[in-house]
Amino acid sequence: MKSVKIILITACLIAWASAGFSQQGRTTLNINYSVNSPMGSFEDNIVSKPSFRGWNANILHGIDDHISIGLQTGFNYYHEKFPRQVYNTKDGDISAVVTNTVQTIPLQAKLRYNLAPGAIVQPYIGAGAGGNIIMFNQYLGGFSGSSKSGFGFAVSPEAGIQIPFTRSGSSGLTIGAEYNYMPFKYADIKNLNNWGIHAGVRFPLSR
Amino acid sequence: MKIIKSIAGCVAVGIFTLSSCAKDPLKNLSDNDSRIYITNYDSTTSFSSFKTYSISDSVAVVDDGMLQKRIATEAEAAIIQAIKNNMNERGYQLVDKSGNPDLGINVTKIVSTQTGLVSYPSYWDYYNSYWDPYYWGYGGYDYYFPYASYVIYQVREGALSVDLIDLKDASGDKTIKGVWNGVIRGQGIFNADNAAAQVKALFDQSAYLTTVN
Repeated sequence: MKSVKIILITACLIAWASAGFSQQGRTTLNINYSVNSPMGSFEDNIVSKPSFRGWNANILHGIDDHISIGLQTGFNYYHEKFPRQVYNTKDGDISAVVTNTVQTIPLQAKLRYNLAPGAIVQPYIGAGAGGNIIMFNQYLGGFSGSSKSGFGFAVSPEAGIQIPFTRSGSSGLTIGAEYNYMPFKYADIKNLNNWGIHAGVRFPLSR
Repeated sequence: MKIIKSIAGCVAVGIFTLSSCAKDPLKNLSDNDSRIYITNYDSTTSFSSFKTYSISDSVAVVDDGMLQKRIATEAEAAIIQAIKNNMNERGYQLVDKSGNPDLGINVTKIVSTQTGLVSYPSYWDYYNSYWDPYYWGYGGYDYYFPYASYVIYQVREGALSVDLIDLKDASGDKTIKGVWNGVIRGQGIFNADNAAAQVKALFDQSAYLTTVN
């Protein structure tokens, strides 16, 4: 019985693989919900909690069956409220409940490499590089303390899998993880580096 | 061309969506959490050199930059009493203003509906004239703070300000120096029930304010 199952699965895989998959010349839109977690000084000094308000999206065009290139953007909102504490200032002190918020909006060129075109589960690796719109706000109690907006650099290597819905493989599920290197210098802040996991769907924009 | 239109459309929708993802960070802030307590002091001052103090029996109300009145309602009386309690606990002796106090204490309630940036000491350039040194028997004296605070705040609900001024050394060069200033801002700061806790917070973060070194 077990061997019958194996044969059937193998047959399906071969049938799927031989269905003429090709991403070459196709443009797809991939939209993901993402959860990102701060790292390093971002986690230690600004926000330690993960962001559950995030998404990313990319539009990729297939150069060949393995390589696709395009653009990626996204959004993450990080937020943490710290219990009341007394902070030393020059010649004084401030007691306040401090709230930090960070918003990041990367705008990147992206390259993705499909390791197994045509398979049921297609692992991929990729990277995005480009700019990053950053908005940092710090509130002391109900008051705006300091804020800084800027445009920085961002590099985002990633790895994941895509599972096509159909044999042609243009639409499907994507699940992945990425690391975001995001330099940002302001006061004690050195960077907004984070890692994230994402899941979503991709579908074709062209036939 | 069709692809470019699709891409442009997606980018436009995406950017539009961005703005709706951030939540209001202060939405769930309680009145207590909204309050901030700021203290500044002259680090060259030895607070143990002062032994006695006197405090005004009313609170000056500055509304949109104008001195409106001096009031002594329940809330203001509660604030003044709380200041007395804390000063006494720190070893300072309350005397009448005619009894040559070492320190004078002014309490100012600043009601402001304007939104603008207010910083110290420009904050004091703006308001200190409402506490005329005549009250303390020092006509013709300037009243100033020798230090600058680092923070700039947006004024929303107003502020309650407590100033300690050095009357002991006032006769030297026709100036009265502010040696300590406490400011409370946030929701509910003018509520009598909050007075004791608020004033205590100012003193708790100012351990140097004592007759004992």
